[in-house]
Amino acid sequence: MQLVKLSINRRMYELMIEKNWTLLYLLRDVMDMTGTKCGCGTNDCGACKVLVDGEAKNSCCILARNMEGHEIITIEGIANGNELHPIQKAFIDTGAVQCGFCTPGMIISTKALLDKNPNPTEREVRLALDSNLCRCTGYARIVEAVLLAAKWMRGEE
Amino acid sequence: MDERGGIAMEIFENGVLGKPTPIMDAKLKVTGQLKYVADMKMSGMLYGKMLFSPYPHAEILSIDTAEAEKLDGVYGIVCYKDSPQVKYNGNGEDIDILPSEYVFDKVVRYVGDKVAAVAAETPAIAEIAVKLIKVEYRQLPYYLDPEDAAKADAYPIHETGNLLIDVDKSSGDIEKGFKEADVIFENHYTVPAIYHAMMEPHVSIADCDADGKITVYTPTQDVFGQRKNLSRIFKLPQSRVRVVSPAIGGAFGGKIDLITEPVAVLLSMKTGHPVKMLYNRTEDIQSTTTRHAEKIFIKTGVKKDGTITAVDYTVYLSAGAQSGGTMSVAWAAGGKFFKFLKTPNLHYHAIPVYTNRTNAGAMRGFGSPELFYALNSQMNSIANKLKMDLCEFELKNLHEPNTCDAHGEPLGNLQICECVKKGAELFNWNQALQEQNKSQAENGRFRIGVGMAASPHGSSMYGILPDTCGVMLKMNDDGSITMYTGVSEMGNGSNTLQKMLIAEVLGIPLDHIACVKSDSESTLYDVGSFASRGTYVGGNAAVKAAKMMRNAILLEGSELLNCTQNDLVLHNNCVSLKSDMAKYVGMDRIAEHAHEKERDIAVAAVYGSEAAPISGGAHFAKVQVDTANGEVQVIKYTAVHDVGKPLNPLGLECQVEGGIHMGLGYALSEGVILDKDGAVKGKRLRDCRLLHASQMPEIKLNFLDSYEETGPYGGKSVSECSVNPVAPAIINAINNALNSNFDHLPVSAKDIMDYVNNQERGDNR
Repeated sequence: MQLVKLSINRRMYELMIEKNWTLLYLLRDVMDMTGTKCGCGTNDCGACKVLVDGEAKNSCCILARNMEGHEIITIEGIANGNELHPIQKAFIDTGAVQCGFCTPGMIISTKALLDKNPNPTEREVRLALDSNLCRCTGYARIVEAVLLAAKWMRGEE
Repeated sequence: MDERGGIAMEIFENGVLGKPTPIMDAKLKVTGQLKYVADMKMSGMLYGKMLFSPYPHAEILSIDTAEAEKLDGVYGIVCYKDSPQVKYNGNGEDIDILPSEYVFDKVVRYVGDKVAAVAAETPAIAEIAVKLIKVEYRQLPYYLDPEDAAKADAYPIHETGNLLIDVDKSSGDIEKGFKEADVIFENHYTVPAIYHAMMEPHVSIADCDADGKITVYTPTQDVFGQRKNLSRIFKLPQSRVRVVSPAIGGAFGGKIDLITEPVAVLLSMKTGHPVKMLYNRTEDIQSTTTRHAEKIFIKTGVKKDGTITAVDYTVYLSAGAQSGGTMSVAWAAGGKFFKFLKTPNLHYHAIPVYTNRTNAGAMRGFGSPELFYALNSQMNSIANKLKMDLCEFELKNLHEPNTCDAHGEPLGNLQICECVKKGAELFNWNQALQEQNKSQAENGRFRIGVGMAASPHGSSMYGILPDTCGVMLKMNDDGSITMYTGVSEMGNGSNTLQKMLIAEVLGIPLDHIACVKSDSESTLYDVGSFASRGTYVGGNAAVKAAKMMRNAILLEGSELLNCTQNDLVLHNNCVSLKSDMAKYVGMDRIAEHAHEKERDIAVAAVYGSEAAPISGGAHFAKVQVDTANGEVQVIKYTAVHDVGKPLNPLGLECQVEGGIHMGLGYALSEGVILDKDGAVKGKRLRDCRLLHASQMPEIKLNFLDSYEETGPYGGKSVSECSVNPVAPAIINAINNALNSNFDHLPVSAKDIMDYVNNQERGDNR
């Protein structure tokens, strides 16, 4: 066990962790933050994505102990209290959510994309989501949701 | 009032139906708040871990668990010595058919079969403990190919032999049909096993209490089937078995059968603690169910004018190690076979065979993706040989609406021909054919090909099994209501649609309806979320319950407004006078009034299906094949479906788009491949080759504005129908682009390059 100081969803935590714990294990099994999902554990599906300093990363393949000094945002940190983020609203309105298991990871990837590129083309959206798998939607509505969220975030109706 | 006429007259009065409506729990899903079973923790909960067989077929000679038991944090280990001696069929629908499985058996029948399981304080301890279990095996002969396993002298995988039950169904006079034909075509097709690859791996939590009651939390599509099975296996009355499906992270047929549940129960019984059994992705790929690998033989007789005179269809199904849902798949595909072509002379012969691989079972389409891939593929090659347009050829032979199949089973208002016509128009089929011809003439690197395919699908189990669904409704003090439904929600929107139907009937806002779902203890019986029965059966049950509740509301309303019930209408969360909408009482007052009169507004309805109307779909694809690297790009895709009246347009679009994604994978990339020793070759999710966002084509969708008389507000099924026509539409397009005759799935870039290189060698000869 070792002591680490982690910033998760803008809050500082001091935690005793094992050196082989992944960030995903820490979030889900130790901190009970289960919004981040485990779809594979092998870097293949993106269900466990979190933002690390603004970049969407698979938390199943990151060691928690290496996260000191980094800013981690999980799906629980996307909404502003009870007010949904425009990305979350867009996912709902467009029908981008079916079983919902890939959704947190998709939203994290979307946030990372739109924070960098507020006006992406459809192709750019698809490429940004390429490491997130979904088995329900065929991605059509998810892509639509990202484009709609981008529009809203740019202040367009 | 006539029940159906009544529905037709008041269609969409309250404006809920027909409006694109997101899935009911979307807000919980986008915030990460929805608790899936893997997210649940219980006090004192242990973590289970399975030891899997390394051999495709072996007898266990001994198991030594002493070392593992000594490990700190290990609470219990179970193996065949602890297993109830009750054989079961883990598929609820087929529960009484060929029970072949024990919770743990002395014989293991595939690489990945259950050998033993550990319950420990942490997943890490359980993982170490499993590795400390010593097992001695005696290897047995094994079979990966159903034709090999079916041979008379094959070593039996089960004591009953390797054949399950032959399915042999025919209509008309097949020999006469072939005599009437001008040309006879014989083709052979092979399709691989397909992994469901739902994003949520299999998981369950079992909790056995001091009363001997077991509660199982599992993302199952079939809480009642699982309860029945668990009650039999553990010899408990159903009152002491509770199965709850709190949330499902995708299922597609893969979460019907018992997988982890009986083992979690056994461990919980042994340890006295709740036990969570969660498969990691590799375990999920190798040790859960798949769509069947099949070998298909079709002989079809055709007249020169394109009239099909006879079809003789034989299929070997690779059932895998246990009976599971195989027989139902064989029977269901046998039913669908007759729902496609109006040819009277048809013969369907299915030979399901045990093989030494993971169980095959239900997967979106339930035998139909295989069946309609093969049939539509052969139709394409026949049309080409006859120099007929494929659409015309299909239209000449597909069933007409409101007719019966060759067995006299009614098809309902099946508009499959309209789907073909509408699709051809939207896709611009004739122009696409010209592009294909032009590309052939140019003979360049990139070849354009177009293809299409059509498929029917059922809407309930009627005619196969009694198909019922129960819905209860209770009104709260403030006029809001709670719906109790046995229908498992898989993300496909079945519960959302049930709520919409109730809101439509009662004029209550959608967000005034709470939902308690798929809990064998608190909801009424439902057959299970399969057979595309959610809209038709679950929807009809919701409408029936809502109409009962409407009557109860009208009673209160008539007393409050001093009028007859016929004078009233339910609208905008109120009961109003039809003649003067300004005179109304709110639903809160209705509920209050009932209580004042010592009444309560609560109803229970059980809907029993009276029909199995057939839905239809036709898909059209244009592909560009790169003859330099074998890559196939789908450049245009159009799908038209007959779903009866479109009730939730958003839900429909989502279902079809997802079905197309799954079908494209079936056509081009997916498939569970075994090595020669029976082990799954690709053990990671990336090896399953699901299509990514950048690989999906733009899809144009259309839903006919049709109406199914027996359906809830005219609706019928969509889900499974959406996957059936995809692979044949794509493969037909590829074959038409290259003049090839690919007769297997998937068609990979390597297959295409092999073909292209062979052609070139042929040309040079």
